[in-house]
Amino acid sequence: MERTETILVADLRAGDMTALAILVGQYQHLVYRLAIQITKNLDDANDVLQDTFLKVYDSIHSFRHDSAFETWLYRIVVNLSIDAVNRRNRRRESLFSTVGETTIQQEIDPRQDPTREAERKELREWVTQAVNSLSLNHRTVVILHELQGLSHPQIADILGCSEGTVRSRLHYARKKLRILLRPYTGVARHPGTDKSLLKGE
Amino acid sequence: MSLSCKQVQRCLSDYNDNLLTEDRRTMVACHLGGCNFCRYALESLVKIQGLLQYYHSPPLPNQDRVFTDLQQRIENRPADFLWWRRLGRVFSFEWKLLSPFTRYSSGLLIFLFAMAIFKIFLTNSTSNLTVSGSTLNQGSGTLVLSDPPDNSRSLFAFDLSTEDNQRFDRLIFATSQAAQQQLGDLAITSQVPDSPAVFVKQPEGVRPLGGKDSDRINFLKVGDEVSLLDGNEDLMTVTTAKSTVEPESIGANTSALFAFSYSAPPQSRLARINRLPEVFREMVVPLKQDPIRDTNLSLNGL
Repeated sequence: MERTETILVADLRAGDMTALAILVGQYQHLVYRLAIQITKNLDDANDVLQDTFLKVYDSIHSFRHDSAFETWLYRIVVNLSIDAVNRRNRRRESLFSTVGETTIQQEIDPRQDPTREAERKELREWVTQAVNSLSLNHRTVVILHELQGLSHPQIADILGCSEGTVRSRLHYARKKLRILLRPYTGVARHPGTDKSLLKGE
Repeated sequence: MSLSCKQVQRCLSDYNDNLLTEDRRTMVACHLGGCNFCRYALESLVKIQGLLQYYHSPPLPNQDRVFTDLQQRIENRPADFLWWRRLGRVFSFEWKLLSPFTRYSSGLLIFLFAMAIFKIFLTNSTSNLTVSGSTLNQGSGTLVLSDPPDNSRSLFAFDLSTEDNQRFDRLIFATSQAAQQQLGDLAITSQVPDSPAVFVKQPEGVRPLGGKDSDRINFLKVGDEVSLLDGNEDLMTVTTAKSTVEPESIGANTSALFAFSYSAPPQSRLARINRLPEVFREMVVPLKQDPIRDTNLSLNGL
């Protein structure tokens, strides 16, 4: 019989390791993807992945079902990822590391049209660079809203800020992305717009 | 009222997410109908949302090992960590669930409880002198404890030939004087003249405590029966009696604590006793006009 999330949480609270195994199986891809999007670093993402489930195991007794388990999990991942980025910033190491060409090349399917695939690769690189160039706060909001599909209240709950802050960050992040991705949006440029848009950053 | 391009640009993101009020949304839509630039800006926002699907994040490598590694990490943790974790689960409490009033009240109660414990600790840290079990050596005029307490500095087994004990003798006398001055007609005395208690020699010209025409004063001990001196014969029994004093510090700034409690005080006297609760319990009574005192002595309760 398939166990629901509530039952899994209750079982994990009782110390059932199989419940943890099921939760890890269900959410490991989501956690890893989110961690790598925020940290932009494979090593950090792996650490965040492990630390997240360790934290879930340690703190499951403090989870009171006042929010969805997924939201609670998001909160842990985002906080651990932000901590990892800040730690790395303190160490003054380069943020642009292994999330790049090598891993992308592994995904290229040789059966597809090489020209089209090369264009897709270029677009992916461009978009990835554009998102990665956003500040940590803006990038986190864009990832949670645009890529994870979370609503504004959910993001506000996860980040521990107001909905207004989320909307504001999203607004400025989109403004910057409009400039960075102009070659691909094909929208006419308005005189003086770039200057005013970048002022918001 | 029509909106400017700047105003529309500012709320374009919210317009795209359908977060604007109906009125505002209508105004923005009206502007977008007549402004190419703003319409293109909105289109670019929509296109960006599509482009973001190209945002690359590599897939999770070794997905089968995630749980195995995690399990290994959990098992390899030190035993004391698990012990703390279990303790944390027992004491885990969601303070957020309480109302602010309950939360702050609980905090205040915990603080007061901690202060009470601290006070008890401080009280117990002083040396206590017990007056029970003392006997008077009639020949030498000194008092000897039949069952001396462990505290070797107990001054109730004092020998008046030493200077320190003489000073303590004076201290007890001064205390008695202070009690008489402070309590007035509520002064207390022993009903049994020759009971084995602490004796304090009465200097000439000083009226004995309690108004009795005697050359000595009985200092209260456990088991003594006492009465008030207003002619009422109601008796009370001393149930506890303890004194605290630092023998080596008798002199300047000496503080002596003589505390007594009584079993079942008569109802007729209860009100009077309650009138002086601090004297019986907590208040430090400064000694005044002490004819013998050569220092600033203070009395805490009697």
